[in-house]
Amino acid sequence: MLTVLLICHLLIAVALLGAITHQTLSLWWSPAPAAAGAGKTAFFTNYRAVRANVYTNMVVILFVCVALFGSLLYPGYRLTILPFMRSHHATLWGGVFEMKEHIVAIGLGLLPLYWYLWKKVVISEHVRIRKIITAILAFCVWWSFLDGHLINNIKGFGP
Amino acid sequence: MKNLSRLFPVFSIAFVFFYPLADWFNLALFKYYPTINTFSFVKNKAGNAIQWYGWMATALIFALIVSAIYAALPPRFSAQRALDLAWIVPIGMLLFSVYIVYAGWWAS
Repeated sequence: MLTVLLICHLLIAVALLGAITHQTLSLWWSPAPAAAGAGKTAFFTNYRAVRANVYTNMVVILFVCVALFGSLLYPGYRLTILPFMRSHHATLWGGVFEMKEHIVAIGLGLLPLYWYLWKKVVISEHVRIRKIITAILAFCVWWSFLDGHLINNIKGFGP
Repeated sequence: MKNLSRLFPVFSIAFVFFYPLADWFNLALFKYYPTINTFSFVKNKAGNAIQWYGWMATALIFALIVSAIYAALPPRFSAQRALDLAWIVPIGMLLFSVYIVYAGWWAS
């Protein structure tokens, strides 16, 4: 059961990672209007040339779903992985995973503000704060994703 | 819904502010004991308690209180002008979270 939950957690996290990365890159590094249509083979230009605001609701839903799956998996981590790390004095990795707990909680807390900035504020207003909050949320997602993978594979590379 | 959504920035900033403090001051509303599959508001001898859910619940309650206070204020006390500075709180609290982890795991 835990394995099924973990795979669902991972798959939703991949979707979230893609959505928030598209949105953040298009916001911080939007291509010139001419460049977006001109180079059909320019992968990175087209990757950034998206309508960033359409990702907002999906990012919120996916973030909540990933956090929910993660919170269901968390007791399993506390009962199996954490004692393993403690017994091997792997305090570095124990701390790294605790950072994930905090970052996910802060990301969850930021979701109403993030949604408000994208959906309730005129797109030409509060541009800087929208860019920063989106970037912070992207950081939360990327950190959590990489952190989860490191801990999941910790027996592979040792504490 | 329009009136409710104006509270979202205040709620978010309050939650993000109170969550690390709930951890730092050990203010988990409740604890979960995975070995006996029980939530408890009082100290339990089962050991290995998970406080993460409780910290979020504490932060949620504080954030709701702050949002309710803000909602009760007259419209002239609008937080809209402070919105552009709202990024300071999450970045500050992310750094504080690093310090919490450092103090709890890496400093010893």
